[in-house]
Amino acid sequence: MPRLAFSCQHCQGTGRLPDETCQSCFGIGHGIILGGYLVYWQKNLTKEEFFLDHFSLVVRLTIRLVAFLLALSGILYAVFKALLDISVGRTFVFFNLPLEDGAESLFFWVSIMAIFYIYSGLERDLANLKRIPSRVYEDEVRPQSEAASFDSRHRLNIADTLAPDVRSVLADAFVLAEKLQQPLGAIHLLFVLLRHASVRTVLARLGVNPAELGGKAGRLTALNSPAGPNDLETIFFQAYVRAYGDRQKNIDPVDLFAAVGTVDPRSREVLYDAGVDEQKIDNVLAWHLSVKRQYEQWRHWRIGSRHRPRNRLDRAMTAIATPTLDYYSQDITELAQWGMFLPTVSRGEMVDRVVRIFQGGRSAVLVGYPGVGKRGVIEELAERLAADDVPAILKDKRLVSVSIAKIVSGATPADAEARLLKLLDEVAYSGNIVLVIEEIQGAVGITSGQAGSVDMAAVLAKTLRQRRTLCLATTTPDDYKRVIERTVLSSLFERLNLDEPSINETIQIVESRVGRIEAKHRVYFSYDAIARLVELSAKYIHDRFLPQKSLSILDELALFTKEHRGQDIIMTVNDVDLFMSQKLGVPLSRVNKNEAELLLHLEDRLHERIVDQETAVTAVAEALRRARAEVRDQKRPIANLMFLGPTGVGKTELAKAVAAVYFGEQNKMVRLDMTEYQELASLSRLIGSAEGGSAARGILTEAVRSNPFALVLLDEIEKAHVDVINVFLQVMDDGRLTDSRGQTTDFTNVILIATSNAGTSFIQEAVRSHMPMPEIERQLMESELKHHFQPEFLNRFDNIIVFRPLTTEHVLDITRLMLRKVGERLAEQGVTISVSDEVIKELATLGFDPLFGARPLRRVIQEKVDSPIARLILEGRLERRDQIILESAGKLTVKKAERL
Amino acid sequence: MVGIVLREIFWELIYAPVWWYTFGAVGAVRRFYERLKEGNQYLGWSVWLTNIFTPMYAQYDLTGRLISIGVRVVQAAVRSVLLIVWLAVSLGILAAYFLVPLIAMVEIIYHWQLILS
Repeated sequence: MPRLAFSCQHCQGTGRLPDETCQSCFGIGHGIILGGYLVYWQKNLTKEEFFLDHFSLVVRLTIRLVAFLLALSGILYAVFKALLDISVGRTFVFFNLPLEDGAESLFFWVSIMAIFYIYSGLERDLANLKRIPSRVYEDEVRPQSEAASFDSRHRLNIADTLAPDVRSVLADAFVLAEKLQQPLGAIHLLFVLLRHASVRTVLARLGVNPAELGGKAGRLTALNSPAGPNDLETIFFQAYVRAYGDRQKNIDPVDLFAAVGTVDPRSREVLYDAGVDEQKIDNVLAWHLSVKRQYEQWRHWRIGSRHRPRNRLDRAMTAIATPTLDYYSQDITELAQWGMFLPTVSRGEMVDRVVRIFQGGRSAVLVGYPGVGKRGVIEELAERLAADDVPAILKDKRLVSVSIAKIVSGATPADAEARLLKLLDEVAYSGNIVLVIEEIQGAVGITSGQAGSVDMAAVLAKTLRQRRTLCLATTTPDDYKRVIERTVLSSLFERLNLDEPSINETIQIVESRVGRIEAKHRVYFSYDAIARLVELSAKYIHDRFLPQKSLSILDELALFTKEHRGQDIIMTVNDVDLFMSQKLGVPLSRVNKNEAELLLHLEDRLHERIVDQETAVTAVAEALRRARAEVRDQKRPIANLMFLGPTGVGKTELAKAVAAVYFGEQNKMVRLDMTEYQELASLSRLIGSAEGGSAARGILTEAVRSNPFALVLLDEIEKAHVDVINVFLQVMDDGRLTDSRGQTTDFTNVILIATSNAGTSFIQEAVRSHMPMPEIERQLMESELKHHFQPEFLNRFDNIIVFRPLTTEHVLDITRLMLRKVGERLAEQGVTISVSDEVIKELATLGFDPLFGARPLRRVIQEKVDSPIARLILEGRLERRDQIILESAGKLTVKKAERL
Repeated sequence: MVGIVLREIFWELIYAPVWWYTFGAVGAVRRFYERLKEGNQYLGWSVWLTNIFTPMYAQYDLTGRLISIGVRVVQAAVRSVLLIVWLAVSLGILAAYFLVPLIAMVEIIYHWQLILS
């Protein structure tokens, strides 16, 4: 907000010349020029001044008290005399009170005077409190810099604009400073403000405990280094600028609190310490203001709608009864009149546009996805109509929502058409109706079926045009494109696109709606909780739109928090994280100590399932740590990795381990065998096809849409058609994929892993000839992989990890790993197994194939270990605490445990 | 100290009547105007008057028009009477604002003189 500092040249900004008050600045000295006013702060913050103020107040109140007693006794005396008169049988005449001339009548008239005096006192008090002038656009204000150019009406002392509450805060702060024997400073103001109810509400919304904050401020006052009066002046200037910017009428305690928190460094330190920064204060104040304004607007509409007739006729009685219309419709203006709608946020501009279109004599269609607030526009228009807060063309009109579904239900198309015609006739004759047709696409394609019959939409369009009926329709962008564009309806309607509101707008919308839920569950939302809820729902819920997707979970969230933490608490970010992570099945909450420990030792966790492959395990662990600490690029998948290497070396196993560790279970995985996508035609299987219904949806896009937190495993990617591979370029770069229906699927929460056997023979050859790994990787990238993939595809991977062929040592380790799993399964039945090193070696030799890696090992263990054990169990030869000794492959002995 | 007491007494007792007939009077007239507007809104007087030739219940035929004008004239007349009553009440309140303090003052002086004599 542009504002100019003003300082008088004649008195150097002091307001005083050596012997007198500076005449050229009227003693103002310095101030700011804002909105065409010269604003200054003039209040002596001295003991004498406070005493004088207080004393004046006491004198004033005493005079008023005396006047009140006088008025009361005078009236009571007159009543007493009248009753006395009646009791002796005289008739009472109002204008002829039984008061005797002289003292009695004098007393009575003085008491009447006293009543008028008290009334005038209250009125004068209100008039004395100067209002902050309404905010104007700076270009409407003439630039001035001399105090003389501001007449007395354009000079404003901030001290006169303080709300009574702020005056008493100032006085209390002064008393506190006196008690501490310190000059009045910002910290005293802060301390007193923290006890004020409205400030406490703000703090509650900020999730701060006022008592704790008060303690900190209290300790700081004890430090005895208070700020001087100049700081206070800056604070009041800041409070004024804030109140002016927010179009407030006076400076209230909350404005002062915000100013103290932003201007005074020590108060700011106290607030920072409690996690409150300027941005947060601003946001919460905006919340309070917007809720207050919405309430005022809503009240204005309520009052305005009182004059509206309660029946269906207009005030001029030009309308007719509309029985058919009434049956198939709902009068939205009537609902508004009964106060059925909640206040709407940021829909005003769109309603203005609708009204302008109506003024031009045309109809409007709101085009927007479900849940973006089309109904909000209709409701706000209805509110305005009910309060007659509309231009002449819409005055005294009612907004009636026709249900297409109701018209067509239980009727043949011909009946439906007849109903529609009758209804439109009534609308036209009545003349006070603005039609609302929600989801207008429902009317398209309904015909009576006979030769020469017309579409219901055509009937609608023709009648609306002929009768000049105003209509507000809604539809979705897809349906608009599909059924309305380039049809008879499109020429009738002016299109208005209703976009999904921004995160910030959604926060405001949610803020305006939480009141009801807070009252219902007695759980109170902090600003951070709302902001987090909106942020998370925007990020993670993809099948619906803002603000609906945030609003729809408010109730559930409040209930969840109540169940977990009880009533009368303030919801924090942690509660939202906990709820959303349970609802969505993803780790959202801040990394706690245990998890941090786990993440730091992720390699060990992965090695519980993977033998060796150090490079691969480290690369994956690093990627996951980056993701969980939220330092990754939020607009790409969590990680794009390519696993290269011969078959059976643990590529898929590592992918499963990642899914288990990061997403909680190993089947949180979308696994695509890319050998199935060797033809270009198979692309439609992957991302769906433009024709057909839900059956034609893409396998990949649908899987990720329904489970956005998953690992996408592309097995044997080199086998896929080159155009299929190209589809993944977008996924890896932008974290999203648009399917053939134009819907975008979010991939920013997936881990994308492609495995490939490309260059296997080269790797095996190179390892055999003891080529170092970095050299193998270099050669692979430079020559081998280029035969299979385009460079832009390879460049998009965060890491291309080469899995080394397994050595005998590794196979032995894998055998041990697998046998340990067998042991774990047996442990559930209370049986132990012991295997000697020779047996392990024997199994490893059997299970290892240079061509297939360790893949045959699983089969060998099944045959040689699992199957004989299964037979033992079935024959009933195994009991709890028995020990199985594996002697050689396939030969088992059971060591029976001692009987208890 | 005494200065403050005197200043306050002066401000409260001497300035009060001045304020009553200057700034306060402006407020009273504004409230009178608001009250009239409210009355018009409530009775729909201007709506009936501007629509005096518009047929009621969308009866655009001649009979409809004739009946409509008749009914509307009666309606407008009744509503005008009600509005005049409302105007009288509002005027009464406004007059009371200006006159009652004066009457009270006159009475006070009259009775004061009676006591003195």
